[in-house]
Amino acid sequence: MMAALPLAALSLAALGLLAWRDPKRLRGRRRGALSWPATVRLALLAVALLPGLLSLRFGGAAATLIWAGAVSTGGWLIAETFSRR
Amino acid sequence: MIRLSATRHRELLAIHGWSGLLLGLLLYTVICTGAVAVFADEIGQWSRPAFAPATGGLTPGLDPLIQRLYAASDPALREEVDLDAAPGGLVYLRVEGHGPDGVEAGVEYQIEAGPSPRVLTRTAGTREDFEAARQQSALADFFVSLHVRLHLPKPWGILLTGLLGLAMMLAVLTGLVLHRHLLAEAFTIRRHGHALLRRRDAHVVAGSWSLPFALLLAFTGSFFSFAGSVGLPAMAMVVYAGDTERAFEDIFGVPPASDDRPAPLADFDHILSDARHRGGVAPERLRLRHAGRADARVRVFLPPAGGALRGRAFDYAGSSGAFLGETPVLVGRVPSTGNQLAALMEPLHFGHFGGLLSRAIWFSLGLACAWVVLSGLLLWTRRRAKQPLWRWMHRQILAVGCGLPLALISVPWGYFGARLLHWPAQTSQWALFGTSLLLAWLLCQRLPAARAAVLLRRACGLGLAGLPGLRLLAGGTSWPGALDQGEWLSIGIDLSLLLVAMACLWPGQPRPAIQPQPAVDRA
Repeated sequence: MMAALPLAALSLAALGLLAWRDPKRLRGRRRGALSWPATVRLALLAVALLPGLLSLRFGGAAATLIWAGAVSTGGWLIAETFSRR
Repeated sequence: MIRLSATRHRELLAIHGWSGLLLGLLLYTVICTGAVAVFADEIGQWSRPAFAPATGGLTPGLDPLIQRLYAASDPALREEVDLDAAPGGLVYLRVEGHGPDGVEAGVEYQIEAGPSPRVLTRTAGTREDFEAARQQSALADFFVSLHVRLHLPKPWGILLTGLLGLAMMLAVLTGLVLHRHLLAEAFTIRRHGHALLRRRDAHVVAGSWSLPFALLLAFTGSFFSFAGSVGLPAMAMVVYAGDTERAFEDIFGVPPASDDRPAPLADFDHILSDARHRGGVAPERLRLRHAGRADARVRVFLPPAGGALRGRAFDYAGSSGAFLGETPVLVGRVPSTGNQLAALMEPLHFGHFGGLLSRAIWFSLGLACAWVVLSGLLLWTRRRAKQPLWRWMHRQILAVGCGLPLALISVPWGYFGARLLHWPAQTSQWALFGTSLLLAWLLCQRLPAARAAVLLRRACGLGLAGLPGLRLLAGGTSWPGALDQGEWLSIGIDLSLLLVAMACLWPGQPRPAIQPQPAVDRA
């Protein structure tokens, strides 16, 4: 079950990268040109979701719930953090 | 992305807003206390007068005491024996039966578990009397009872919290439909926009991230409220011609009475050891039915272990202690999908399946949901701030929003204060809870909103910062003492309280004031 934490950290790292160059967020700051291209965004989204599948396959339902809960809370904190930058 | 006509959008927005607004403050209270109640066991351990090693459930060593107390109880009121592991290394032993009037009554003993278990208190009466007498776990019980039934009498409190769960589900589902750009705006909070827009974005982003769990917590919470108070009695009316007791016995797989010959009680230590050996974890509850008869049956419940979401239950013969087999945890006598689904509700709602890790995550999810409710309420009233009634409502929401955390922080002050002054803990907790809420309300009526919010945040910081010291004054375990016994929980909680206190006392940047604006239509 503890494996859920590093898996959640991996997902949050991918979400952090997504948020950093998020097109809609950057457009609001008139820096839309810096945003990731769609293919990179899709790849990062896949990287963010993959640990969830891994935890479901190898860690069971409990590990997946912990992963999902940590990613939900972490994703919200990432969005709040980037809104202050 | 869900496309809506302007009319449908307005209708859904109205449902979303009003479903939250009508019961929003109570919902906020239930969610906040639910987040705290996730740590009920840890709070119980932290608030104990002297450090007692956490037993981690029901452990062997209790049998001689149980046999003695059972033998000393009223023979007319000892049909059932219940054992519950409680926060702080306590065990509740109940010996109950049905009196001449048919009402269940008996005796509850609060036992300090450990190598030499001893009785702390004895209470005779009904379940309500037992709950009122639980001074040792009064702090954790206060939060749990406020979350489960808002301290209202049964069944009204539990029905109300069930209704709140339904309102939350409605708000979540309408929010899902209203917020058409769920993924595209997952990170969008407009920093340079109008302050109202920024707060609207913050509400939507928090709601989007916590949406699946908000739905899950609302559904499971409603299930708990309505299953026992409405669902099962309704089924008993229809299927069992109103015989609730027989319905409950069938649904929960209680064995029917079949042999009333007198028989001794089985060895509880043997049963608890065997259950622990089979399940790999210490049991948390034990139920003995038809006590003192040949057909007595013991069911032992174990918490989830080894990465599982659900716990397990084992049946034993109540007179010999012989193992009879594994049984569904909740519903029926044979494994079923219904039982599996019902048994999932508890771990999904309480988040206790993965120890401290899952509890901490459920706590943060609870805080996120509370923030979504509060920010939604404030947003709704701010948008209508041109009208005096909404301005007044805005102040009331702010008073509860900022006052409730202060009131919750004052509860342990009441608990420890009561211990120092030898007052009843429940009364003292209520007195400080009510006084803090009243003070917060007065502040919010007298001062500008931003000023009141800052003052209340600092009061929360001061309240939290003083708790570790007050706990020590009231006879709690000191840090060196806890370290000597390898008990990290109290130190961890003390440090967490001090950290949050620092965050509350840290001077923050003043927020721009919001002037009344025309309604912002984007949702």
